[in-house]
Amino acid sequence: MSMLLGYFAGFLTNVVIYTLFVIGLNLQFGYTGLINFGHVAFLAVGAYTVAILVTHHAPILLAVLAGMAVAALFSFLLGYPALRLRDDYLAIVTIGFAEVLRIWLNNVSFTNGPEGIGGFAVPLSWLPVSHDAWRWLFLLLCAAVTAVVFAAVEYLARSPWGRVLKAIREDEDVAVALGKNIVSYKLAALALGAAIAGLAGGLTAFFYQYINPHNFEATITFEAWTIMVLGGVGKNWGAVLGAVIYFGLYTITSEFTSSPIGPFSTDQLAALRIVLIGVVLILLMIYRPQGILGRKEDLGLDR
Amino acid sequence: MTADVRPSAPASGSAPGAADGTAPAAGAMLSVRDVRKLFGGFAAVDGVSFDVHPGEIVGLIGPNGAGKSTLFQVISLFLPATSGEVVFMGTPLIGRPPYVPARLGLVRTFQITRVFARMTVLENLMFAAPRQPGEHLQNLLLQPRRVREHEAQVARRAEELVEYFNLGRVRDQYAGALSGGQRKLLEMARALMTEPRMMLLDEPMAGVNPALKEELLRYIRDLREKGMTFLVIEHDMDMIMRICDRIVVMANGRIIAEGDPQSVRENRAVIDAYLGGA
Ligand SMILES: Nc1ncnc2c1ncn2[C@@H]1O[C@H](COP(=O)(O)OP(=O)(O)OP(=O)(O)O)[C@@H](O)[C@H]1O
Ligand SMILES: [Mg+2]
Repeated sequence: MSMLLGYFAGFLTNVVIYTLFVIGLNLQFGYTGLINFGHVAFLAVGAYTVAILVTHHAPILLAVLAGMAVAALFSFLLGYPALRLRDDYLAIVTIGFAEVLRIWLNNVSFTNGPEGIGGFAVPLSWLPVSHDAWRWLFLLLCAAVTAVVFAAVEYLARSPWGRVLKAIREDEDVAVALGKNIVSYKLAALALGAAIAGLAGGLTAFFYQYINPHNFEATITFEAWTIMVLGGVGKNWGAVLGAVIYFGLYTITSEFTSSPIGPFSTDQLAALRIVLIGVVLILLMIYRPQGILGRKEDLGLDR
Repeated sequence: MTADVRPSAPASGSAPGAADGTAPAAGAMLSVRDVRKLFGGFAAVDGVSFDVHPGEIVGLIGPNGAGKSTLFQVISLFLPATSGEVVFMGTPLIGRPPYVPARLGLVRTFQITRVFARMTVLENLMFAAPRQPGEHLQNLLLQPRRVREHEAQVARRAEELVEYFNLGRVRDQYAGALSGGQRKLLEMARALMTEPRMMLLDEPMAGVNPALKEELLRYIRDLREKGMTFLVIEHDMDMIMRICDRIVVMANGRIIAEGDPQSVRENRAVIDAYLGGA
């Protein structure tokens, strides 16, 4: 029972951290229309910054803030040249950066290469509680952090600043013609989204308590896109719902791949499971192309 | 061409667009000086000069492909000029970023109406208001009260324009759900939110039914009464003749005639350009 509960805490923590991660992506794509295909890079930057700094005895809060800042800085360095050219360059630059970063992390010594980093201090470890209890407390911490970010992003999205982002998404030429300097808004949205991903990365490091480059494969970016589209692009609640459904499916199906069924080996079952998830997503896109929380009308609108 | 309202304008109807000096005429609101725009080797705009004075409604006409929209793109800084200068209220524009004209009070619309589809009519309008403190993150954080107060002001102004343009019934609808005519009105209202001194309208009457056309004409006239200046590209001759103080005629990238509606209507070069399919 307690093992199952612990497992459940882990599941929820994963959902919460992914929600946070997707809120960052949603700020970039859902609100501003920026295509970031390398979101995992900012997760990795946040996680590694935190792991390295905390290993060197930096205070945890400071390390997390540094992880956010470094992630934002990297996004700025990518976005500054790319966004001056054309929007699709950002997609290319980010996807390239994510791959290069992962390979680089795998090959330099200060990150321990493929062996990764572990054994650093984690938040709330001073509490005299069992490991299972700690997992629940850490879940609460992650949920609190995510709730604060959620509220902040909602506030920004409803502000005049958020209105500029939406206008950029809808038609950036018109936004310019009406006097807005859109490049600075795009950079700000990109950097804020990356900082949020960096924060999710810091939490990931504490959650795993051990990170290596393998944790930051490109598939994570596409999981984030899937969750965002599933829940409804441009809706923060969509990130929550999308994460719950995606990992729900993922976890339920994993039950069936632990031992061979009929003619299928566990390897084949694992592959089938991905197919099954894919089929569910395709069905969802056919019957609810706007995502679960999206408005049907949004798709039918033309400029 | 005889009845030009500008004493300094060339008196002949033949290609006055050729460089006629680089100093903008005194008192001009918009001054276009020998502007050229090449696409590869093709001169879409080939040395165009003219002025628009405060309070004027100037029509820019010419056959399809004459270079009118391209000239608008250059004036609004959406395309870099190959050479020449554009001066708005004393400020040279060429070479500056394309968000500058609107900030100086020169706002444009597009030949094909463009609205922010997944934003409400009211949001479309409020977005366009200038100098909003709430557009800057530091103000949202440090001066939320100032942001709120300014936002309320912007909302009031947007409501006024919604009423003025009869968009009250759709104010909370997504702009993407509006009819073509409502979009025209929204685009005009949105441009007005920037508090312009002068508007560049690219074919405001295209695809507009007769009733709405009269309505748009009334709006343009009314705005001019309140001090607005217009430069209007239009193929609808009836409209051009009725509201323009002065007409500039382009063909093949050049100005072939310039003057009051009556004189332009009778101008040989203009008749040839339209009939000859330049
Ligand atoms: N981006 C471009 N690249 C190459 N040629 C262009 C480009 N834009 C316009 N042109 C050409 O420049 C010429 C002028 O086009 P423009 O759109 O300015 O005409 P217009 O006077 O606005 O015509 P219309 O009344 O049909 O709108 C046309 O021959 C057009 O094909
Ligand atoms: Mg045109």
